[in-house]
Amino acid sequence: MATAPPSDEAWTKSIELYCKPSDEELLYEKGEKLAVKAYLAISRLEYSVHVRSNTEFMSPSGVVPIIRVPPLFFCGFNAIANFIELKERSASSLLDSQTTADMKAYISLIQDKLLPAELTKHKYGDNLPSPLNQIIPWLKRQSIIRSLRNRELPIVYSDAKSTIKQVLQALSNRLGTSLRFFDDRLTELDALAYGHLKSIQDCDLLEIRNLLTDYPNLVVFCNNFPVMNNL
Amino acid sequence: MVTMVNLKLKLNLHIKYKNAFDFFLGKMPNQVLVSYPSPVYKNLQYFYLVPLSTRLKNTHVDTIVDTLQETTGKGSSMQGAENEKRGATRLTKLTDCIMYFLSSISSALLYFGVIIIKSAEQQLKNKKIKVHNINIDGLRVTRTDLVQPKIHNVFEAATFEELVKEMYLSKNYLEDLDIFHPVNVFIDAASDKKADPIELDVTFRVRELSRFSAQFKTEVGNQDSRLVIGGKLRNLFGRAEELMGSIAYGAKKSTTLQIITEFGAHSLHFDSVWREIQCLSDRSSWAVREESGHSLKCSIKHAFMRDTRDHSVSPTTGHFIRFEQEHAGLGSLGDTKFHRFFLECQYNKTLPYNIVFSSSLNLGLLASDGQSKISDRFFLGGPLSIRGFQMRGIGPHSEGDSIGGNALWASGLHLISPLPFKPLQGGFGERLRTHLFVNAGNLGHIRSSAIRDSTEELIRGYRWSYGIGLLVKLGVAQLELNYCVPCRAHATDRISPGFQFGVGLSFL
Repeated sequence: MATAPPSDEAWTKSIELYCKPSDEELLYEKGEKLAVKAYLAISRLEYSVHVRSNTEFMSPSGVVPIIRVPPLFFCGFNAIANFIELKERSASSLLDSQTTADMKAYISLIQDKLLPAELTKHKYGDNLPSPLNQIIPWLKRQSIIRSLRNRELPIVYSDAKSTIKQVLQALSNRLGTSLRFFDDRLTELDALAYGHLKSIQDCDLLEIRNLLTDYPNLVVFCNNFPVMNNL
Repeated sequence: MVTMVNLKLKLNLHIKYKNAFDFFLGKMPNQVLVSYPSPVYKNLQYFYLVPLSTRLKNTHVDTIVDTLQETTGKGSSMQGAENEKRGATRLTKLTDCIMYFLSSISSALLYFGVIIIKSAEQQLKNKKIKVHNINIDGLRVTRTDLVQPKIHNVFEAATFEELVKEMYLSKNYLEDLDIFHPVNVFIDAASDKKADPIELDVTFRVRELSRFSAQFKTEVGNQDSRLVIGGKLRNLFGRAEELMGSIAYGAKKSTTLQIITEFGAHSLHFDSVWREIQCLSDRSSWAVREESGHSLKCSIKHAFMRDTRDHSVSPTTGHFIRFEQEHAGLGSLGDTKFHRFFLECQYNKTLPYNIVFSSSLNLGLLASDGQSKISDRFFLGGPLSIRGFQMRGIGPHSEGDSIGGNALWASGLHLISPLPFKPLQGGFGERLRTHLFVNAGNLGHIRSSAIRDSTEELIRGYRWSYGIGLLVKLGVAQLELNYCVPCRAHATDRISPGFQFGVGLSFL
């Protein structure tokens, strides 16, 4: 990843989004993808979608999705949001510093707790031939468990459930009856929250899907997210 | 810049059958003899006579011993003009000899061996003998039908010289099986009293190696290296079968499961390889990045090899042909599908003044419908192929990274000569040679939609280079220091004019 972005505005024409096929994604990867899509949409940027099974391995850090703006590329929601903020196309650039700090706190809350807790090994590695489709998911599972353990986060789903509920409660409180997290403007946090909430809402597992039912205002937020109808 | 590498800890299972050696049996004698044409090698041959002759017991063999002792006396005093002349040449050979075998054989023993034997050479050489019995001692697990055909040629020896030669070769065969160590050979008078006085018994005394062995090694090949940790089960069913399990951590290509069967010049491999392509650098090009990830290749590989060269690295005569075809993705195993063909030819001829003319040609073709990875494709350029270019510096590139092609041709012409004025002759100087070379070749894509056009493009868009260099022979490897002048290159090629250094096992 190079640091210097191209100076002209031509880059906005050639944004490519690389992501996994939707049936091979983990829950949090799907959340990140939807968050990036939402963020690009509220930043009013055009992009083309490229679906690749090996997106995870194309990314140097293993973080998906990838945004490519030749010759640069950025992996994961944070890097992408930073880049777009750098280009002053960010939706949140008009917020005052106190609000920005609040927003970042919520973003890190979602990413640190909700993101690993969302893990399922559902369908991961389906594109690979046997016997790799047994080995690679197992390796992935081990690496995620290791990273959860290092960060002293719950590994067992029932433990994770209470963590998710804490985060959802915090988000629900912040949102209140509004349709935006900060005033009436759409920000990075809206995109990120939408991505992850939507992925929970659309999850195949009933148990995870039911998590949201206790927070009707979050469901309303998801269903009424303005720019997402075309995604 | 290293950008693309298959990096993965891999399990390597390796099963090897060494049964079908018969093809080589007829071929090997020439090869072994010619491969060290220097007088030194002769000394080595006769060196084996020393322990042999001391064990000769019977009367008729005693005469040989007597002759030996007599001539030893003469040889060491070195009387007579002719003897002096021979002594002088002998001395240089001896130096050479010591240099060569210093590490493995006691030089003192060799010294006496050479003196004794050289003088007795004539008498022994043409001594008529007949082999009466061959005994093999020390076979426990090994089946006799594995060993018998290998040493059968010893029966055909008609003179003492032939006998020693055959014994030496048989000993080599047995050692090559990699199941015995050490292998000792003894000659004795025939134990049968009624036997003709010129009849001899030959005894091979072997000790079988233990069935299990572990290894920890690093392998260095053509600009590639890897670390291998493994264990090996040897001589499983008594016919020198091998079952090898290993984990290889390498910078190029690794094998998961490999079964090799050899039928004379043909060999058949079944390979199953789990590859992971990773971009080591953040600056790797997008084209390489798009290839990254896991893949499984299951392939059948057939290779035909014919080698009449006298040495694999610095041949002076003979030719070499190797044709390899690999078919991956048979029966929907794995996610890699391609057909790969590769032909290697080399022809060597010795010209007057000890100059060796060497020419070689490589052709490669990969047919695939997009289900092959960058590691299956061909690359060209570097000190071992087209000199004057950087490693893999020829052909399609993307953002400075070589992305390989599906078709290649490469050729080389060499004129190799010993060093002028022959410094250090008989010693290290023998390992140094100079060469003039011309390389030409190209790497590209042959598109199935326009085969004729893309083939023409491949031929017309050739690259070539020439230069001069120094070659150093180091056992089975060769070291090269060349001054290269790339003459025709494309804009995207990475050239490397001037001095270039290379070390490897095979050269274009």
